[in-house]
Amino acid sequence: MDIDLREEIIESMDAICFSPSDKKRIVANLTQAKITPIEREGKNMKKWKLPKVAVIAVTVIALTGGVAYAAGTISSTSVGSSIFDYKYTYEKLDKIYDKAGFEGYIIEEFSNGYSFDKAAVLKVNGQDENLNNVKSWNEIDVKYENAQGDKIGLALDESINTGETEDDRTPSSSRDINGIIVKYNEDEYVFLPGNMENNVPEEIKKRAENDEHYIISYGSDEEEHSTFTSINFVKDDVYYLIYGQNTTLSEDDFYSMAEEIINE
Amino acid sequence: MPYMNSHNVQQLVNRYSDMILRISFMQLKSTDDAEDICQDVFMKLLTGDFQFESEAHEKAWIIRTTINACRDHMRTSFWKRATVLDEAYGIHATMQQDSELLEIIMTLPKNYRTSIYLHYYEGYSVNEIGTMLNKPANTISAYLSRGRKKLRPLLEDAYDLQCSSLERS
Repeated sequence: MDIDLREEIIESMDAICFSPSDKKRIVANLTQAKITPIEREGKNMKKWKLPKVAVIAVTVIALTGGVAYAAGTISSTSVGSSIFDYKYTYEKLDKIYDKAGFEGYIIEEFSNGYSFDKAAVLKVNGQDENLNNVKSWNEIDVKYENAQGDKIGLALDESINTGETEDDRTPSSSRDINGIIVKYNEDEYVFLPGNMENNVPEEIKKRAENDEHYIISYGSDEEEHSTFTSINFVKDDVYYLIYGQNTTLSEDDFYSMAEEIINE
Repeated sequence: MPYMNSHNVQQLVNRYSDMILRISFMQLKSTDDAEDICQDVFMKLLTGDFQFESEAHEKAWIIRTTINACRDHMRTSFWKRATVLDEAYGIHATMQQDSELLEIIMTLPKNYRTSIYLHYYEGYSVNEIGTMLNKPANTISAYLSRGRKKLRPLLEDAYDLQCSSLERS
């Protein structure tokens, strides 16, 4: 009886499994969320602020890693989150600020149709080169969505925490809006299988060496490309980052959204 | 350096993600949140500085962490809301076939289901399961015994059906 039961149970349980694409997505999210900055630093490549790739991704594991910190002790930052964290509606703005411990300017609906969907207060961990947490702070992360279901994000941090995380790259462009310097970045990520790490095609390697906005990441099943677009600025001691993955928004659209926050 | 890195991330996901899914299903009776739980468990591996003595220790840690992650998910007051969100995003695991046995297992209490899975599928002893679930070994024995009682009639029916079809042929 017990042998039959074991066989039956094994057969039943074998039927419960992730699809290959589910597994691929899990690997991609984990790789984008954490491993990319580690690899990059290990290779003494240039450090820069990564966009919040996984916040845009379905399973919402967020990242603000790979950052160059002037202070020197923190070499990267990471944020872990799940859909359970995104529990605040716009009506709960006061609660968001209470929990975060600081306030900012959060638009309910941008003029281009992106409106506040939900928000979370996330704990950011600043880590040293050995990935030990050396500092933590709260970040407000807001998800916006338009009528077509396109999503973008807005992250707010106190600049006392993130001011030192200056992106040391030359931005794709920058503008002065009412005395505030706004930096726009458009980054192309090429995801390669892990076994290609020591065998990167020359063309890709060369471009990554010469183009600060072309970034190699490892861990995908096959070569994939994604564009991450973001704009950042500091207003009243709060650091704002508006970001999107493969978004149809133009550079001007991003500047317009930044302007709306600045003029708020 | 973290235990999980760019070189073994795919290997670890391939090795353990289905197990995490099955334990999540046993605990939550739903696969909707399994991917989140999977991410949570692997994120802990990514961010922690672990040194496991062996693969068996690694696996046991992942099982315990999965069970804890499921408990955390159940505790949250946003449980129902999150399930709806998951459905909206189309996250779901694969159930390759209908299984009558699985349906009956899922009518059992949570700890019975999990104990049955860990004992019969993963091959853990009652003592080992007790440690993982933080329960005495005799409690686990009782879970397994009562679970078997519920499952036995189903297997006997299936056996009778098989015999009668053999006799007919």
